Amino acid sequence: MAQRSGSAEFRGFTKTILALIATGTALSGCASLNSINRSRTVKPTDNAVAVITVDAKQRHLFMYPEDGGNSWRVCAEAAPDVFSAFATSLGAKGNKDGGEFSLSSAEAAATIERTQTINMLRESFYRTCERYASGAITKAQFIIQAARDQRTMITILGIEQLTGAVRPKSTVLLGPPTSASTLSGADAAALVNDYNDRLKAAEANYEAAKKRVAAAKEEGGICAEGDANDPAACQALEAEADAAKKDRDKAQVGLDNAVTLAKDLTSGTVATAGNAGSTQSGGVAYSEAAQSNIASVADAVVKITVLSQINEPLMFCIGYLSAPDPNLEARSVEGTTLATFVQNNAGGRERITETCLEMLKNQQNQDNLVSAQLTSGTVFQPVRGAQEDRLANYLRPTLSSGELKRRMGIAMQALRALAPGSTQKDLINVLVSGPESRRKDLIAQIALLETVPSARADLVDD
Amino acid sequence: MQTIVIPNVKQDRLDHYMAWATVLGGKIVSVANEDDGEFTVVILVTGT
Repeated sequence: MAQRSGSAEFRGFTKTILALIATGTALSGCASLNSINRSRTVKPTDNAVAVITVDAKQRHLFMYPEDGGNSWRVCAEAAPDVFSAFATSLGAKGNKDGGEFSLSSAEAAATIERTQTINMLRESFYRTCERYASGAITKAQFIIQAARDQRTMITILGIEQLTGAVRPKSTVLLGPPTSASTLSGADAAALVNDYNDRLKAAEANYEAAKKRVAAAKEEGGICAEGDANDPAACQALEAEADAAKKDRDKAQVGLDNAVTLAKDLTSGTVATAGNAGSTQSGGVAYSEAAQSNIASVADAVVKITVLSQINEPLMFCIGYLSAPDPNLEARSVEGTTLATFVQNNAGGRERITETCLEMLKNQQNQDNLVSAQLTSGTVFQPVRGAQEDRLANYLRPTLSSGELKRRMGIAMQALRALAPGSTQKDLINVLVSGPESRRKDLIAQIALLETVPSARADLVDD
Repeated sequence: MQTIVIPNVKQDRLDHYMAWATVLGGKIVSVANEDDGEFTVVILVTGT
């Protein structure tokens, strides 16, 4: 009967332990313990202000329905600046006499290192999206702002690379882990006392063994020279002393561990879960800037700033032609480039459209030239004239390939006679762009070198 | 090789420029139509 009662108690204890393990496991797998995640429908009214609060570890997406819900304006906040690690540990042990269950959790958080440029651009881009999504700016204005952002990004990144990035140090926060344990202070004290007793016994045993070895080494002892000398017995005695010493050291380690455990318990932390809360403060770290070339760097920065202008009226035109704004005039702000543009084109929307198309066309031509120059190309603008006609006749494409090649060789030779070191590119430049005076000199030189009468005749001015 | 861009080329000179580039050992990269009936010619020539 007593045996059945003991078994029932043990089964009850087992159920309790299992329940605790199940609870702890469920809690340790719950990621929402240390984060905020709230989804709300926001419907601003005239008299209500809606606020959504999230913590730094998360980002949010605003979704604005438009066109009767057929489309959306979406703004996704940039990825978080911080990350955190959430750790949970679970422990349980027990027997028929009792048991222990412990659960501890700890969270460590740190900021992600980003330069101030990156932070500023992330913020700027997102704010632009917010303004558009909330209707504060039109699509045309959004395109203008996007162009500004792009230009700003290139400018700032260029300057940052020249001057050296200012990089904030990461801030790390290590919070003290929270813990729950069935190990009470009384139990910890008993544990310390137990290990203390063990240490005292081990020390006494070791001291006794040392004395026995010392006595054996005295005159007449089994470890001393003489008739009583017994090497085997002496060796056994010394081995006994060594074993006693090891027992003493082991007891000391056990006592140290028990004391540490008891101390952590009274301070609310668990030794295996980490130290108490600590902080690595932030700061600013400067990358190495080229101090020796500071004047050159300053000059380059000025140039970047001056050249970093965008054609805002053109950006407006792109946006306007994409989706004409019915409230354009009402939205324009006095004193801005946009307002000036609208005012200068007060002849009506047709006038704006016409001007915008013309502006786009001019920009396209200009871009073509700039593009060619950026690819190390040289632009030769054709310049016509009487001398140009004579050269074009002399080097006409209807000639046979061989004859044209011969005449081109003479032309090249003539140009080099006028300007030693001239290249094919120089010859094309004179042929295409002139000036006419240069062409006249070239024709005279060709006439001197040309030996074929019919070819020379082609140079004669009609 | 060097890139030469000749915009605003009229029709009666287009063949001239292409023939000159070819005879000089260059390469015609592109001939693009402009809106006003003229052309933009891009050619490559050697540096000699």
